[in-house]
Amino acid sequence: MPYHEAPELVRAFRQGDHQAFNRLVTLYQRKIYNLALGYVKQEDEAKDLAQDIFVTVYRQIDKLKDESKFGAWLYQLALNHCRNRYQRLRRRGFFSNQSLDDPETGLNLSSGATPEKDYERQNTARLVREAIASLTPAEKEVILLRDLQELSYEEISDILDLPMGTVKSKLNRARLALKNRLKHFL
Amino acid sequence: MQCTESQTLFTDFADNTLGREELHALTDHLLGCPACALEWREFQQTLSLVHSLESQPPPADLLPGIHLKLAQRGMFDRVWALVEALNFSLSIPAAAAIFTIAMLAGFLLKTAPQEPPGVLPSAPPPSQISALRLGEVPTPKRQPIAPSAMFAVSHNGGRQNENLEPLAQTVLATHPTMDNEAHRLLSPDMHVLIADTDHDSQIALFQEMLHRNWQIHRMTSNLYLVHLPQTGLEDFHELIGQHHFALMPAAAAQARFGSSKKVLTAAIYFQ
Repeated sequence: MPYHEAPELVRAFRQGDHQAFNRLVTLYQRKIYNLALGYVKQEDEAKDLAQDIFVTVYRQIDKLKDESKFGAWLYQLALNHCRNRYQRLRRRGFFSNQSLDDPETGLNLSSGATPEKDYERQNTARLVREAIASLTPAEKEVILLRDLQELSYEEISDILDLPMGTVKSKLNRARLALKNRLKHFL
Repeated sequence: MQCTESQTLFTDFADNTLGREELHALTDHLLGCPACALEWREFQQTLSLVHSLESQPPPADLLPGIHLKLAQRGMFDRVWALVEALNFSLSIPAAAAIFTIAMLAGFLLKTAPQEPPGVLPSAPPPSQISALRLGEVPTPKRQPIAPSAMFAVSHNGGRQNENLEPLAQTVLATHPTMDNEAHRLLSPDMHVLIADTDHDSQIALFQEMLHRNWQIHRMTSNLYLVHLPQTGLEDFHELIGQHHFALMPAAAAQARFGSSKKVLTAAIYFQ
């Protein structure tokens, strides 16, 4: 993915080129949608959340000071949206009614060669998702950013506004917590 | 090295970013401590499982949905700007009423059923055609336009519709965006309801518009958005004047309507 094009697209969008906005959305939609899915675990809700995030990008692009920092700015904005939506949905009991067995709730393991293998992998993916979902919000956040979004420590440090050492130690704690939740499966 | 300390180094160990001394201390500890060695193996297995998860592709209608939301919020902003422009202070109940109406409108727009894609609008009933042929004079009159017709605006949503009619596909492929003013995304400047027309007349109308290099977006089977330069307004009136139509707002019939805008957007709705 040509993420290095983002600053140029932001510049063009600010100058009134709305196709540039569309291209920015196309560039980041997979990551933002999956980040949203990691929080709300339901496809329609994740789509709505991702759309709200990009609507905010459209309306607040002038608040971005440095175009080269678009990625970090987008993730900060996205995380704020995700945290708020997560809290709101949790208060409404959204997650208590949600079954993690639901096959549409997000990430899948890479496809296997046979239906049996596929089933086994899907089952494993479900368990891993369930374990990630059971982490505290702070633990889940750092796992999503590093292990699923594959961001660098430097990027995560920018997004969370934390020193890199703190990011690493938070990540280590989150991974240990995840390991403990998966212990019976390993 | 203590067992608890060893586990704090697992992420650095996995990333291969430990210093030489720490690396030696940790590996020595893992060799001599089966419990920590097991913890490390499980840590690696956990990472392997998480990294093997694949992300899901985003839904195809994510981008059109963004434009729809932008259009809806643009409408809300306009209502609010209008209230402010009226320059009188609202009582709290009045403000609450306006807010409720705007929210209700937004909800209705969101839940309005989409019409299935078709080719071009179907021909009107013979009785309407005969009425026109008998010399009925088309009288501009205000008629309500369905909410979905007023705000179903997507800047490039049509590009993702594989069922686009060939005419609109040609438009999208050959005519680049004329300008990029933000207000064009928010809502149409004019709403044109063409009541009585036949298939051939519609094609002829669009061909005339294409001939003038105006941009046409097909939104549903009977709703089209047309972007035209402000200087083409008279020409536009002349073209639609050949049909039985209603135009909103009435001011759009004036030659200088929207003169501060370079490009006007007309929503053409075929009844």
